[in-house]
Amino acid sequence: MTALIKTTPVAYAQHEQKPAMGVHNGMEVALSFEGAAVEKTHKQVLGVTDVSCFAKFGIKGPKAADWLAKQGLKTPDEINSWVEGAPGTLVLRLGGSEFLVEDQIKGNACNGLSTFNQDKTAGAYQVARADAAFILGGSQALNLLSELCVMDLRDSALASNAVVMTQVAGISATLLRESLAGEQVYRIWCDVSYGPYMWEMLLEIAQELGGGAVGLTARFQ
Amino acid sequence: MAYQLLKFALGGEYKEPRFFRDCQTPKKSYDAVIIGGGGHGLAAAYYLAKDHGITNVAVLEKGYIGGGNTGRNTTIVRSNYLTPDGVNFYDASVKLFEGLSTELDINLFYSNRGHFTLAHTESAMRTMRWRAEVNKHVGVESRVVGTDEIAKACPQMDLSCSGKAPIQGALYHEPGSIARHDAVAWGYARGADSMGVEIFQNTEVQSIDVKDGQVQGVHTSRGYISTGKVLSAVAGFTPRITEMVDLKTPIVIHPLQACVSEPMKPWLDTILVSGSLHVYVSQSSRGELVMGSSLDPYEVHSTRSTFDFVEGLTSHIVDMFPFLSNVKVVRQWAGMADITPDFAPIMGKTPIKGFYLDAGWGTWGFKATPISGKTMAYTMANDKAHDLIHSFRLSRFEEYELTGEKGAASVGH
Amino acid sequence: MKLLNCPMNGTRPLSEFLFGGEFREMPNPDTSSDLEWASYVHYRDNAPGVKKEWWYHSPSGTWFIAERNTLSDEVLATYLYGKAPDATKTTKPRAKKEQSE
Repeated sequence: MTALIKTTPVAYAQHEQKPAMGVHNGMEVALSFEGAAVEKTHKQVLGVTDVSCFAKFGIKGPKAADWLAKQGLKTPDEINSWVEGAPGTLVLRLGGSEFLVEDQIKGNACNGLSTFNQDKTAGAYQVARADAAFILGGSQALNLLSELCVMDLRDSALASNAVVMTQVAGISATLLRESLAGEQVYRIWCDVSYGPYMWEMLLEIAQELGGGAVGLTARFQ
Repeated sequence: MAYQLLKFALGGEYKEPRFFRDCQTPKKSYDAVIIGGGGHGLAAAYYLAKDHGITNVAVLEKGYIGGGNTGRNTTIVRSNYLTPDGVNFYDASVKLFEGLSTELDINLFYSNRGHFTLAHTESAMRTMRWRAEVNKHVGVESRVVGTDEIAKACPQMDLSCSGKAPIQGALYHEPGSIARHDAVAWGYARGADSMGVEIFQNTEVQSIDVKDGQVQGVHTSRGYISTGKVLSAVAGFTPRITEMVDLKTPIVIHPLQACVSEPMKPWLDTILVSGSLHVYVSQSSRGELVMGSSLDPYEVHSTRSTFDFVEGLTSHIVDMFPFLSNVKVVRQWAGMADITPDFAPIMGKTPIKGFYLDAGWGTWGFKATPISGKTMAYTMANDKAHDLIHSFRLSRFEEYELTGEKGAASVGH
Repeated sequence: MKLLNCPMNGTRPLSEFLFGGEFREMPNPDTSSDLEWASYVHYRDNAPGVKKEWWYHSPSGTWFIAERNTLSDEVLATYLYGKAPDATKTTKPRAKKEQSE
């Protein structure tokens, strides 16, 4: 039996751009769009990358933090904040007692968390996560966000470890700012069914501002 | 004719006769008191006098007649509802409306336009087919039409709605009409007054006397009035009246907003409603586009209007009619809509003897003005609910017999 | 743009919130009569004034209580259920008794 390969929820919206697709973490995603040189420029100005393929694990409940700690993950102390819970893995605290764990390009913590057994864990409940996820970077990133989001997300307003749950382009989304290979980038998660819409909105404005789509390969070069 | 006109012109006296007497001091007692001098209250007074010979009636209005929701609605008259009870009731109203200008001897500018409820999705089309079948079953003209017929009736519309919500079809309701709403109140007021009903403006009801479960009278800003029958027909103010008799209802007040554009030459013949885009629009006989949207999303007991509303509404109107992007909005306003859980009114008797309720008119009150007046007058005169309003009784909620009219609200609520 | 303060996420535009209706004490569904249940579901004191209401911050999924004047549309306080700033405003059985008197 062959392993099931999923396709990124954003694929439908990317179809016209004819990206070169490839599999990462069991999901087919866009690895490159217009070639390394163009995407490198886009990355500097304003690049949008689909990272829905990153493994995710959601858990909530009064004992959720304890359970994550037992699995060897660091969890944020403050509500609506995030930490690097393990090398290459983000742990977001969404409100009081809900957590989203997401492996980044080189993280590998979620695999171990799939051993979660509801019957043996009182006070913690797994939350199925299938978000569409994006990375937004480049010198114009804030200009794009100021068009789509009412929150002030400038560095002075958005603390470096803060998680913001707000609306982007009129739909519910989770946002944070992180440093990726020395560059400040924004992460956006939204409900999977809005993935294509979000991609279209982000890309439309990115192109207006001189940027464009950046594949997974160029993003992590 | 020419001579009379000349005589009138040279006479120097152009005073129009008053529509109704300027009543100031109420009598000590009336056979019935109607709270609320809007279309519904005045129609009830008119039919009490005309159909039932009860003319010793006072209508008490806190402001001026027709100044509440009667003058704030978007004047659409239609009967393409979803439940047979609703369709029968509103159809009776449409039929009364059609002869009303003659009966009241006032030009209501009743204008039959045809009413399209646009469907942008397959599921909306299913609801339209359902409504069409219910309507046809009880003899109301409604049918599902395709985009070609919509394009023919309204060639100015972008059927793709700027690509955002392409129109699949529509429910077409031929009797759909518009009318001059304030004239309806004025016509009923004149008719009722001429039969002896007394109308008191600037008269506020302060409390209602109830003894042993029977209404005794009302305290007003013009003194105490003794009466055994009180009708509350005050739309968005209903909770403030029911509070006086300690009656709880499922009504929640949400503002409903509307606006008009600057006047332009006639180009829009039909009435258009889009559930997906949350707009309805028609062109008045003055040339203004009358535009409305869905309810404000939460309870507020005031008639404030918001920028959010105009912004949202106009962006959708421009999706439908891109050429309107330079047209200005000249007025906006709000009314307080008394919304019920099943989107049907609350009419008839209450647990308090002699206290009758005509409420829960939410966003569907104007079109029901004649029939609600007629059936409430019957109910008050006989102390027995009229057959047409049986399913709208207040007790339906505790009897778990709601009506299920929600699907026919003109826009998504 | 109207703003509302979410107790978990701070001040946000009203468009991020959904109105959940007036806060009401639920009778025990196992023991209440049909009439009591109908009263709970449908009947309310809907006259204008300061009301306790349910509101929902939709991006974060947070339900909370707002005390709001439904006449003037002023919000007096927002807090998570059971965490009223003033002890007398909590929804303990005592408060329920006061309401029914």
